[in-house]
Amino acid sequence: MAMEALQAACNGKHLYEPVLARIVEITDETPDVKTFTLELECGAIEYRPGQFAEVSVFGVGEAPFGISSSPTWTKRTGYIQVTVRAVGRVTGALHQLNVGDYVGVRAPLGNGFPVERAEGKRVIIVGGGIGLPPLRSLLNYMLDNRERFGKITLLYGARTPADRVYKRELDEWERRDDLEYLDTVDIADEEWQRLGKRVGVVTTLFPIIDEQSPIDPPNTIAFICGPPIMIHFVIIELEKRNVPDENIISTLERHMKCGVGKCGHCAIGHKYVCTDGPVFSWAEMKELEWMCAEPTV
Amino acid sequence: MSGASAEIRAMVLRKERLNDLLWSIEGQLAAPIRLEHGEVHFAVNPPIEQILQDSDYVNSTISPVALLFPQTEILFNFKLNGKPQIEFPKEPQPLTIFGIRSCDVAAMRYLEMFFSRKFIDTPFMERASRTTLISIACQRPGSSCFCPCCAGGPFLEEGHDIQLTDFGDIFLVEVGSHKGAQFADGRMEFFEPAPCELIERRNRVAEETLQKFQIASHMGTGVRKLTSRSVSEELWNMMAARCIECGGCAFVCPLCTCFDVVDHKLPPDGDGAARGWRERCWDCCQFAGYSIEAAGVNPRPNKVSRFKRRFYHKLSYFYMEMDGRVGCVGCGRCIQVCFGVVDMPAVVNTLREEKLLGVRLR
Amino acid sequence: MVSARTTCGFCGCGCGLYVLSDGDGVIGVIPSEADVVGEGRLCIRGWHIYQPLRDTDRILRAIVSLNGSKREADYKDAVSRAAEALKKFSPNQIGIIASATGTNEDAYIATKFARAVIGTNNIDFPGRPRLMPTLMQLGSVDEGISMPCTLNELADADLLFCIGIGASTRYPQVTARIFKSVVEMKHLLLIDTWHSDFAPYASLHISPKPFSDAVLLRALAGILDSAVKVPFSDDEVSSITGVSSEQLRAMGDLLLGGKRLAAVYDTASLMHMCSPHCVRELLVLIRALRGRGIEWCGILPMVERCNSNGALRMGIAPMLLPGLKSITDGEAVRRACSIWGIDGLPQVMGMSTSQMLSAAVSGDLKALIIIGDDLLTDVPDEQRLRDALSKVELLIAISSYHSPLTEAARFVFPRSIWGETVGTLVNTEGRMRRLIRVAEPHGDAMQEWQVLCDLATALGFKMSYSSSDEVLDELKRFVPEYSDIELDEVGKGTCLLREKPACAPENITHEEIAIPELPSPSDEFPLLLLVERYYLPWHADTLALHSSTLRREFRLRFTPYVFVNSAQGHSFGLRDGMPALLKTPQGSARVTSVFNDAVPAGIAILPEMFFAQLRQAVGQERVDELTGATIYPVTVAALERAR
Repeated sequence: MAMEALQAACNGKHLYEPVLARIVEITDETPDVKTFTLELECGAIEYRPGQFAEVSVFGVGEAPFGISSSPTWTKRTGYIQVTVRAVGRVTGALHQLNVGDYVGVRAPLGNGFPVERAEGKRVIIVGGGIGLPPLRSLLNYMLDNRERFGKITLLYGARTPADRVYKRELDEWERRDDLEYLDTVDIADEEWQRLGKRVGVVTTLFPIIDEQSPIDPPNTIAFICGPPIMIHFVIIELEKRNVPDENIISTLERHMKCGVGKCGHCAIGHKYVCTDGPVFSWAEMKELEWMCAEPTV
Repeated sequence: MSGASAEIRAMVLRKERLNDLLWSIEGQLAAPIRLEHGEVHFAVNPPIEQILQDSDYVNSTISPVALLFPQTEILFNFKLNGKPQIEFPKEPQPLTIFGIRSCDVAAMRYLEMFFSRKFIDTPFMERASRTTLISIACQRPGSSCFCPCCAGGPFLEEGHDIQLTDFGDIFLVEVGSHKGAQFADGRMEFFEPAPCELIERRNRVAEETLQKFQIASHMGTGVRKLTSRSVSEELWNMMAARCIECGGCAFVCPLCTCFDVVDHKLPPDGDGAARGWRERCWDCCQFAGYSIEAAGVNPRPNKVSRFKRRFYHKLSYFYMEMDGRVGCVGCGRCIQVCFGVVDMPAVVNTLREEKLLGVRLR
Repeated sequence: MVSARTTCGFCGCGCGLYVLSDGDGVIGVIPSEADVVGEGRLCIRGWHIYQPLRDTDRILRAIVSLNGSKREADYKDAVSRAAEALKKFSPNQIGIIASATGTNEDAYIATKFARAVIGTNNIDFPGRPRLMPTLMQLGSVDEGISMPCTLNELADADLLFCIGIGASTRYPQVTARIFKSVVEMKHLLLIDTWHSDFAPYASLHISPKPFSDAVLLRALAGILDSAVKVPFSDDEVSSITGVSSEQLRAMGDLLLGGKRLAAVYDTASLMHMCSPHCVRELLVLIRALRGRGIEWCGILPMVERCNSNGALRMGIAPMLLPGLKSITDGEAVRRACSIWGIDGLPQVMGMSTSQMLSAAVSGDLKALIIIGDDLLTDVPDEQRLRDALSKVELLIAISSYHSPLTEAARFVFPRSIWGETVGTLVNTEGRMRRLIRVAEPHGDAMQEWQVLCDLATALGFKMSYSSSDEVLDELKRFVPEYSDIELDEVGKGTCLLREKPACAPENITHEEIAIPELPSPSDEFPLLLLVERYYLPWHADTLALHSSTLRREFRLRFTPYVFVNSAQGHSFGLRDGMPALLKTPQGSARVTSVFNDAVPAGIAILPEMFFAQLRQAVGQERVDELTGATIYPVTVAALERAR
């Protein structure tokens, strides 16, 4: 073990110390999803799309969330955003908080999306339900650096229209002409039907892009985030269209606790989702599945 | 390993000087003593006369690495009244662990590597950086020891700070690291030069000790069988059936590092401030709730998947490649705590023989 | 810092362990390798028993509810107010529901408080009915049969006979002995509805029809000893039990192959040994085996809580005095009068827990003292509890945690928890175990014996002991069989209680064997729905919910669920954990279907915990007159996907 590491342990910042962050805005996305805009006491941080933050409600606990704002936005405003669905103790407590309250933040953590690899390529972003936040970070980053990327397609599926997050932004994206935007819901409501919008799972959007803007496999990179079952079927669609395994990029969901590869909860085989991921290519996932004899998605 | 470049030196310590040497230690001294009913435990600052002699004990119930990674420890305290205030526990005192066994030294070196890989785990590494190990090489292995199978002893050729070998009225003292050298340099008055034949005797004793082990665990075969996935599901199912998910094997394993993090909050005091703390406590991958996600999905929903996970971590080649060692030092503690005789040697043996003890042909 | 050796307070095993502390409090445990029970092993509960001591959610002060508002009160003030309130009622209007999680000393003082201070036999603990079938037979156990036998005698047996022991996690130290034995290639005969993790290791596993154990055991005894009368034909036996004559003979052959036989059963299994007939029939079988050359026989009844055995022995039962003496035993009554300094004891049989709850509703019982919260898990019927508790005029709760019990109470006294208490326990083997204080009590919390002494004194009956040891001294004078108990021996684990109970099986005739009446499944309702006590792999009290790790393991499901095996579940179009509709001839209810391949085909198992919520669909339970235990209905059922 290197002496420097020992020294650093004694002089550096405590690994589990959260930075205090003030809630400056809370946006209701759906009845059980809120976006929190946070002002970190340490000032703006640099991060990559797809990295995550461990957010603490003191006295309740800490939970990981993909950062939903883009690094470019953070550079402009100094804030970061996380989008939280109330499902457990910590998320439930977060939803009880108000503007002006403090939380703790440890960020950025995880590897983030390999955005450089997408430069010059056709980009396909596929999001499902509450899987959109990290992809929003990625998409906004790409839109802010539009010239570096080829054609960008966003496919978004949700269970119902009410479950769609970032509704205002979705409308903006739909109107943009430098972005191909397609969305669908599993179960439509009246409004959705009246507008004649698409109904079906997200994979039903692939035949549409086959017509509108066919995929050129080696020159295409796809980013997927959503429930495991959706990831599974989207990968099948991409494989059918010969997108190379290493260009199919997804995030894996596991129970992350410490966020720094120590507590062990998120391990799959010998990889830690929190430090080796949460972003993996399908090639990496397949290799990992073989190595640890357990499924990744 | 820390200070691997340090000059390897050997000296002699007369046993009658041992107590004085122990008294000369600044900070905390941890050493093996017997508890009320005879169990061995590494106590902090025990009465020196209670410290066990080499021939008096095999090893402790709980590994002394728990002094650096205890079952529960407070990460920080907080006070909530408007803006939260965070306060960290005070820095640890220097610690010397006397009488630690080779397997636990090997474990400690692994833990230092693990807790400083990519990110430095502050609580552990703050303690580790201030800890010196004075180990005693084992000449009387216990009935459940199998360290020679896992590069965990009984004599250490590397990784030790100071290694003692008991030769009746003297100890052979081997310095193996910078920290060990620092310890010895400050206390030269206790030591005498070691005659060459003593080193030869040590090597001979180390050889002879290998013959005294009662069990073996063929780790290499275990690693190969497991990594090549040539173990039948049926065999995994039968092994997992004997696991009661007590967590004991992980809690006594000196290489197991999993922990859970929990917040506690007291009701507000008179000044309206609520105080609380965040702590971590040992966790175990055999527990059903260990990998359950916030939304309730459990990627390892059944016992056999969790059982496999444990042994993939301990025995998979991919882990070995990353960690530099197999995930076991052969201390044998899991044998003592296991309710179903599916401890490490039992599992490795099952992988090797493709047959589990206790299964009848019907 | 390491404590003196103490005993885990979760289940009836009572494993020895040490508690580790630092400046901030308790931080962990060390299993005791030298302990005769644990031998250095702890289960998930034992490893985490220190955690409730770090938990901050506790009742810290006495709480008095006055004119509709609840407030914290000075302890002494609360005691005198509670005593004043108690004085208004006659002895038979007062009842005490105590706990099997307190110490022997706590239980002894509770008995004394009921009998000598209040003057009532209305004292019970909710888990007691489950021990009655065993207790009723204990008096008639022959010389030469060890009952209860010890865990190590179990390990030394060459043939293990396990009846209805359920999941391997329930009694871990028994599990350890069983697995050690199978690894040594000893024989295991398993009678269990569950295809548990023991099943693949059994030399023979028989999964008889529910509630047919008594018939099965009698038939088996008949095979081994022609003097034993079997009032059924072979065909009747196989149709009642579902076990063929060949299987019966194979069981007989297996039993005769051993020299040392140890029988183990779970006193809490509702499907197996819950009736006095079953335990009696087990003894009939063991006697038959004794005549066939078996050298040694032991029987180990497993009990759920850390001090179920102690609570019973100390007289927390409507019909018992300390030492398992009857309330009508002249010698015991005389001794009670002389030691307690009173003129006489109440001679009227007291009410059981269930009777007290009913009497509270009917208004016959007006004041209730509830110690601990065994009720929450042993009478898992929140509505019934709320009904009863809201009707009593005076409710005094001695409790560690906020619950529906304390919510309804006029007076709440904070109770200390494991690790704060001092005293002795009696484990499943009848072995005395020692509890050591390893942490200072939170707030004003104290043991119930202390609160009861203060209440007694405030009621004008002076009761005062300097320590729990002094209580034990009085107990030793009270029960001659306990006179040689030495704390030192208790600490070493060498003190076994083997007193003969006064409670004889008067009401069971030898000929009577209950034949289970089960409804017949049909195409419409292909399942037999059984209520079983298992709610989680471990039985545990509220203490476990105050350990962060155990709470996480528990959090799994709090909504009603039924277990079915996965093949059966799939046949209904269900997936594991999916909402389902449970349909019975009486009605239907929403449940979660949980797949568990330990459940045999054709059976669905409803954990007792959720019975009350599904009563409409399942049927009405009744109380067994002999034991006071709840007998749940059996119904046919079907599951379908919930819309």
